Amino acid sequence: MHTRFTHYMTLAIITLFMTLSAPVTANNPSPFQIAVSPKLKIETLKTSELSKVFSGRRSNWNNSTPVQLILLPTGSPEMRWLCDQLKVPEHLLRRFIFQRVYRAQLRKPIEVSTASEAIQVLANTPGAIAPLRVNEALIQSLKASGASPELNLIKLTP
Amino acid sequence: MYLDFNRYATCVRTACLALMISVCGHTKTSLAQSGGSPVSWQVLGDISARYLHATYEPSTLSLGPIDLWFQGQLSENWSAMGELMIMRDPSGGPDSGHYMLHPARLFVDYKHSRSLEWRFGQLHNPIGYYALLYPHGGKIFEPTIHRPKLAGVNEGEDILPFHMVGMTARGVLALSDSFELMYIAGGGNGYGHGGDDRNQAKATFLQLRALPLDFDGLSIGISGYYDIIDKDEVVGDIHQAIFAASVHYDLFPIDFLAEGFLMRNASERGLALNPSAPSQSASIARPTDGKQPTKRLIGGYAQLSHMWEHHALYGMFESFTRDGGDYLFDEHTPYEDYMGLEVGHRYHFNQSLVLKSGYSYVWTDALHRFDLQLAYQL
Repeated sequence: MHTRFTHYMTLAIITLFMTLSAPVTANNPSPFQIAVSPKLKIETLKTSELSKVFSGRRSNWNNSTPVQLILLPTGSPEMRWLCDQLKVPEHLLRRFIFQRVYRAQLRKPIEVSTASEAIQVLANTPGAIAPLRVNEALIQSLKASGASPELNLIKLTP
Repeated sequence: MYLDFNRYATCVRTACLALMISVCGHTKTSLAQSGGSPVSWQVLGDISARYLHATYEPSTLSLGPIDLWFQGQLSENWSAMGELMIMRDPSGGPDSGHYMLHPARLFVDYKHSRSLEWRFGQLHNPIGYYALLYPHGGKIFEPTIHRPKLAGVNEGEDILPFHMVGMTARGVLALSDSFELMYIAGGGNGYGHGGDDRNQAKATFLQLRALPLDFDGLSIGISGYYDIIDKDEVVGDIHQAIFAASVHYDLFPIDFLAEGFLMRNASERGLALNPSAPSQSASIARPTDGKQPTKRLIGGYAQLSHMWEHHALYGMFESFTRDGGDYLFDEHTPYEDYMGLEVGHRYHFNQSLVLKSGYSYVWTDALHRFDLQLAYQL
């Protein structure tokens, strides 16, 4: 009898937790997005294509422009989000990327330390792609720096 | 005809150093002006321990080759890549056992488009796929502890001629919305570890790989290689033809590669290029006319690796058989029939450090072997 009561209580707690957490998710869309060079006329990208690009299996865009990966620091929220999308641990993703570079199949990625820096590289590098967290802080930091690079955010599709 | 390897090695080293100095001499500013980027360096290597269940070879610790890898983007279309190996000389010559600098790859690349890219310099021949996937010293990237014997690249252990100085054209052609074709075609010095080929005829090769886009990670390829070789002890030329077919599936967490090879050495082109022509046994290895007898090697390997987070399990099986008494084979492998198995585990500490532990068994030698290998990337 006691065990059954415990099961009911557990179910109730889980239901309560899910009820409370659901509206938070729905009302706060993810700030993480994929940005590409404004010179690339791309609006959408399939998740499978994103996987090919970031694992080095695709080294050129459709217009033959070489893919130039931009990587943020290890463990950064942007990289964690990207690895969640690709369903691969970050250390393996980085290993795959360098393996392709080592094979001369892919350009060496550009490592940046901040999202602002990534945006500057995106603006100046044809074929560049980067995961970004586009939030108020980033916009303010861009305004403060006086830079106003065009940001080409693309939509990920299943 | 005697191949002057020392002279060749000196020339190549000098050229390497000149290129390195030239590339490294670019400052950030000058590269920025030319649209390039600074040179990237990586050091790759490994430390290994082995235990052989035999009394004729000791258990030992060994330092693997140290791979100095560098790449520089010279302009939007031009780039250069090099891979210099600091390794023990395994040639058996007077310098055997000493450390030497070996340029494994050193080339300049011009990328015209996705469908056409030119490479000039010291490259790996596109015979099969292993040497392209795992070029040389990147132990950290190789799924297994030991390379397949048929994919060996160290001098004296390279059964197939993977090194060459020459040029290639390569690219990917989109044939339809669901199908792409990768090609590599070119020519260069063949036999002689990429060194000077004093025969006027150069090695030529072609590799085609089908990439079905609806089956992500899969590629199926065939390749052909043909060379004419001079050797002092052989009357006339040695015609060498190598055919290979491979299936590769690489999509996290699975990595699978299977390859088959057929190599034929003969005194005439027709005998070398005809896969079904009979070959000659070891008993007539040295014909009285001094010409190259028709000899054949056939074999292949398959390897599979599966990852779970930081762990991976792998296995590899390899088998080949060859005719004995061949002028070329005998220099590179003591085995006429080989069958071996390796199974093991990899632990990826992070992107730069991998610990592999493996057990291997070679039926030919009835030899059990255990290995540990710590591979790193700096």
